[in-house]
Amino acid sequence: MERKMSVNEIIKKYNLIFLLILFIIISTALSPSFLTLNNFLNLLQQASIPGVVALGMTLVIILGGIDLSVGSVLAFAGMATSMVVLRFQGSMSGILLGCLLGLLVSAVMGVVTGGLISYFGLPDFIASLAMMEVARGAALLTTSGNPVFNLGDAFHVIGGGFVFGKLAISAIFWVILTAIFAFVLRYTVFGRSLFAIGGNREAAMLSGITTKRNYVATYIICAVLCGFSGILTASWMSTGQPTAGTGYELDAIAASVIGGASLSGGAGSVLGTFGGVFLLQILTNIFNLVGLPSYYQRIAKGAIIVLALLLNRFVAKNDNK
Amino acid sequence: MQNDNILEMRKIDKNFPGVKALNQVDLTVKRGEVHCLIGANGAGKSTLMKILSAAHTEDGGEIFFDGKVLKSHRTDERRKDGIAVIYQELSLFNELTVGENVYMNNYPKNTFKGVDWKRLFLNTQELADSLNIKINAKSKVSELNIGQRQLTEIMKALASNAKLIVMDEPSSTLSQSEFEILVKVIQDLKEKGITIIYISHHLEELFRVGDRITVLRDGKFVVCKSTGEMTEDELVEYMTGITISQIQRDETEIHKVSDKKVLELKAVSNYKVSDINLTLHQGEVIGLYGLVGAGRTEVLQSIFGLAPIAGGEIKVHGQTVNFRSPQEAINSKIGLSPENRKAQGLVLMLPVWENMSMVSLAKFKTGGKVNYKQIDAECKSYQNKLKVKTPSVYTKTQNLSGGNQQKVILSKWLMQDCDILLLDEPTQGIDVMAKEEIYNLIHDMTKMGKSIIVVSSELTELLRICDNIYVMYDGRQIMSANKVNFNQEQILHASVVGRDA
Repeated sequence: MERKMSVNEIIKKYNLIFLLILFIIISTALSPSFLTLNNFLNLLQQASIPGVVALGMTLVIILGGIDLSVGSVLAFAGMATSMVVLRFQGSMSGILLGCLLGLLVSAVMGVVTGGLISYFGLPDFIASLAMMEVARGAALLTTSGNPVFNLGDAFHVIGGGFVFGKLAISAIFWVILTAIFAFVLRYTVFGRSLFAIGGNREAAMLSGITTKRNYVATYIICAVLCGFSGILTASWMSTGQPTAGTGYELDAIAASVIGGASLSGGAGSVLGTFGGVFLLQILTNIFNLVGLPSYYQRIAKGAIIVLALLLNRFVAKNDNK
Repeated sequence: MQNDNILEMRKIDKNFPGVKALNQVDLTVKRGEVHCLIGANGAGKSTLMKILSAAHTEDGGEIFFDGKVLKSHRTDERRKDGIAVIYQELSLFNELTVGENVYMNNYPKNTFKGVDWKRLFLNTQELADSLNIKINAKSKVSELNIGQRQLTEIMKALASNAKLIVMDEPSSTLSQSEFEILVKVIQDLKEKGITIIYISHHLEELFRVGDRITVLRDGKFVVCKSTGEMTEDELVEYMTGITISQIQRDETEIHKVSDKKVLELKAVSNYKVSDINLTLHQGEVIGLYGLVGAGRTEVLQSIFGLAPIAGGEIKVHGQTVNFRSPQEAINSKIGLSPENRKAQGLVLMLPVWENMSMVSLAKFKTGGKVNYKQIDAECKSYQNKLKVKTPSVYTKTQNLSGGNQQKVILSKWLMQDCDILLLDEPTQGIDVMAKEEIYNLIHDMTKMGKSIIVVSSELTELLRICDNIYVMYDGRQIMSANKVNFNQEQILHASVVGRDA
């Protein structure tokens, strides 16, 4: 698909990259230790778990939905996995079984949320809000709210291991998953159908797209990605923590939106979301490096979200002239 | 001498891109009368009323109301002057009470400048009682039936001291008994000296409620007479004109329709229509004509798997089918261009190529991957074939004109290689030139062996492109006509009075 892009299009498409570069410049100026390979790899590792969650959220947002249950699903899947791993004392078969169970329970939660929305007509916000509460409750119930310790060294490798010195395995997962879903969105019929459904559900239905089935499928994918993040979290901390992932839903939404997703559906990109997560992580990182209290971070985060959106809106306005 | 005309609209002109919607139209309404405004679909009734309410601005002409010239083009000014328009789609707040709706924007205030609830409900109730309307001022609009909602709109108009009330197709959604109540209310309003402009397709209603009738046709004033001086047949004549000979049709070319039946409906009924019989041959164009709400769209819905059939049988290529979803219909090579292009036909925020390939995307896969080169080539070829005017196939579909958007929808189904195309109002809201192009496309498609069902509210359009026309009324199929013996007047008459003349 060759064609020339207008200046507007370039700004619109790459405005996130401009923002990232701007941030990197500012950060480098503020702290000499920012622009080092170690710090970069560190950033990648820290961003990987929220990154995988945001990936799932982006798919749901493109579809025109919203999933508030991501953090809770992460926690419940993490707990399910941890309990099995502990039971089998960290053996390989126990780890395998635990991970499968974690992914399975999250898939089931995705089926329920997606099914309630598409087959029972509940609003996305409400259905996923309910699942957010239920899954969090279930996660706390497994151990009456206590963390699960002593998951063993073998299990720790998945989310806490490194290769080539400081490259985190979880970061590799994040990059690979992002690449896979970038491919899915661009080159598969299913991926394109998400944009159609999000853009105009009725028109998509009348074009023969199986809207309900694809809707449920997307919620399952999102939930499984969250479940996987749950496993990564438990592994990284070597602890099954029932309160893990609290507040992740809003970070994931923010990253998606900064990355160009539209909350009314039909627009978004997983590469953009990758950038969005990274941007938010840089923010945290630079505040830490400079040694400012985390309270400032939240204010800055809010400002960034507004800035990114205003920039998009500004470009879109010029586009329509 | 006091002028007894409350409203005079003189030589009103209104142009829409490519169409002269109103051409030197006059409308004179006497104080205290029920004045009926009638005309076929597209005659300009709604446009004229929108100009009266200032929703549209006229391009020429003058409006005198209650002894003065209306200059301001603000809708709120017109309302203050005493003009109230009740549109077909009522504008009520369902979760508020009748009283709140009646006094919306006009709440009675108490001494502390707060809303005087007691007076609000009391006034509303008095208003209802004075018109013998049985409505509780404190019930929510969502609890009312359609008739009561209409009456609420009328009360709302009265509460704002309307002198002239326009009712646009008030009866279209009413049951017979609800209509009787409306008739009584109209008589009460007349006694109070309120003037009414009544728009309806149903001729017999006009003779019951109206004092005088103004007929519009093709954006022009035809006649204004009192109801006593006109018969139903004369009225139909005024509405249709003798335009049958003016229809441009290629009479020399007798369109060959094959004997091959591609689609048959036998005694089909669904939630809206009953006993529909129809046979579509290969290369044939069938038209479904009828008033809005006659059940034409619902027939297409059942063919396309959107409305389960309650009885009867649908056969595609001789095989009985029972589609439960559009996918199944599409698999049998049926395509639908829905009534509402923007809301149902297209994903406006997506580019042209994506809408064009939306149905047939799976066919562009090579090696498990969507092949963009192929899509690109095919979309560009359809862009040229159908003369879709767009900067490129990457342009967002929302930036195209209506006619070109329609072509994108047609491309979509042609790319899927559909045999049977269902076109619901394919030329609605598009300009004359683009209409011509769509007609030619339909003609070309039949030559390619496609079979087409067109639903349209424009009879001249159907007369021109169809081989057979079926007329529908109130969910029933009441008449059919073949191209050889099309009679515009007869078809129009049937669609309006509900029986074959």
